[in-house]
Amino acid sequence: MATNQLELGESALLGNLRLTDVCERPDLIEQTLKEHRNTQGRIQAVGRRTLGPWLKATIWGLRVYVLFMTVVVIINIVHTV
Amino acid sequence: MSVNAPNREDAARALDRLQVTRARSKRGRLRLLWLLVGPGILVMLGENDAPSMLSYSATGSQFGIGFFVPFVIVTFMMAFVAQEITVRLGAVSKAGHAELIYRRFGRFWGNFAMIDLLFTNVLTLITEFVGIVAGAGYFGVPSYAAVGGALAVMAAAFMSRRYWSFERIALLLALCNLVFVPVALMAHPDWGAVGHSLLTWSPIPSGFGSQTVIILLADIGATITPWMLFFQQGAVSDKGLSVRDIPQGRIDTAIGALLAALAAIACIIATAPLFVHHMNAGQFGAAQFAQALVPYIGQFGGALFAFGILEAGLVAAIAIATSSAYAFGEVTQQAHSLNRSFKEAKSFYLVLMAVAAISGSVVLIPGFPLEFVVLMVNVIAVLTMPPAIGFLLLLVNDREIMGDHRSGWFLNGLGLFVGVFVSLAGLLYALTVIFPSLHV
Repeated sequence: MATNQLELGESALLGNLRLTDVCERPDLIEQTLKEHRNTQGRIQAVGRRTLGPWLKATIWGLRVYVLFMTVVVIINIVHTV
Repeated sequence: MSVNAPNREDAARALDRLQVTRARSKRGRLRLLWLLVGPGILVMLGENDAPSMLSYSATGSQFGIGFFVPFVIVTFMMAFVAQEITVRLGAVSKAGHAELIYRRFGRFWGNFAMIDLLFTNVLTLITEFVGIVAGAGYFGVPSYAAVGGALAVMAAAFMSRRYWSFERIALLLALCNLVFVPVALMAHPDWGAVGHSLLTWSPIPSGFGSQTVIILLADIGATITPWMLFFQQGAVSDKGLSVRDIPQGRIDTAIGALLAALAAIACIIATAPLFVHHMNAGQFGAAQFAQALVPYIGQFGGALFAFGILEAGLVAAIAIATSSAYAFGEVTQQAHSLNRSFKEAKSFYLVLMAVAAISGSVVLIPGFPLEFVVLMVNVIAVLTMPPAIGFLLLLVNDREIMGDHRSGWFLNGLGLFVGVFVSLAGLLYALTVIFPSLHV
């Protein structure tokens, strides 16, 4: 916690900062959003995952479930109307 | 983003993070919680929307105080299980739900997920406006004025230009959902029956025919729907929650589930007098419920009930339109943050307001089968839920995305249980539709 305070600066942690003040402190923004930026970079580097046969079958099964249920809902609507 | 050119979104998020860091360094637990709560309460109370409150009203009026009171608590527990996962996904990945699905499973599967989301969102949004119009109608407000007024309130919330301000405005509106608690008290409920139902899950509806199954499914759909996953993960990411904030995110979601369950049970209790007095409320809309309840809860109670339906529709319309715009922005890789101005994120705000305006306009079309759409929308939401839960579980167990924050065997077990339960409820519905004479 003490490290965080030093990193962010006493004024940022103790003073009453407003949005306009923060806008004028790009260094503070960068420090504060460092974790955010690192994570975004990490996620953007992640590509498509390989779908094994079991996983493919499961996802297709769930999709067929929705299509089947759509037909059921249409049947219900036709019966009701 | 260059250090010399910070945009407004970054500055707003940095300011929010600085306040969180300050609260944490001063060990101000309540202050910290106050800063971090929002997405969970908003999503849970937002899901107590107009069709949901009408489902609970139908439940109370057709089955009284019994099996469905504890059942609703269980559905909110299941909603908590699903929504807790979105807190972790949002905090760990800082990305929205649609973005992660497209990134990890490709455009083919991503498009399916988006079709499910947009289809259910548009239908649900229409029903929110049905609730707004019906609730306002009770007070003599014409339909077009109700729709216009709702759009104006939504625009005011969206144009606050800060996620934080938007969230607090929406939270204030969402807390009005608890108006159903005083309405329930005005109905002078039999507390012995309430306690008995909570302990014994009885009386159980005799024979699970298609109508009972539709109510069962509607009550599940009143707590677990695809838009909730997209909204909360998007909101957690937009709010800028970090991994350290996950415990507060969980508390936020738990508080939301608790408040929403309270409002839902209050609605069932409030409408139970219609069951006791054998009133046929099967085809009631929002205004008819409020009118029918007047002899039991008085004029003021009826007005509160109508206001509750109006408010439920308004809050959900805000949340659902936002979830659509988040998903659209994530998929098209356009700016999608409530911390940005209209100029910086034109497509985001245009999608937000266009989705709301189109849905609101549909309600004004003469002869549109509104009551039927209201009845079916929660059912359809449940039926599209299994693939959404499937992707949710796959993402939260993805080592490359979640690292050490993947679900353990216990959380995976709970998640699987929710997925299987929702799927089986859907199959039960299918059986009663295909074999109408079937009684389980």
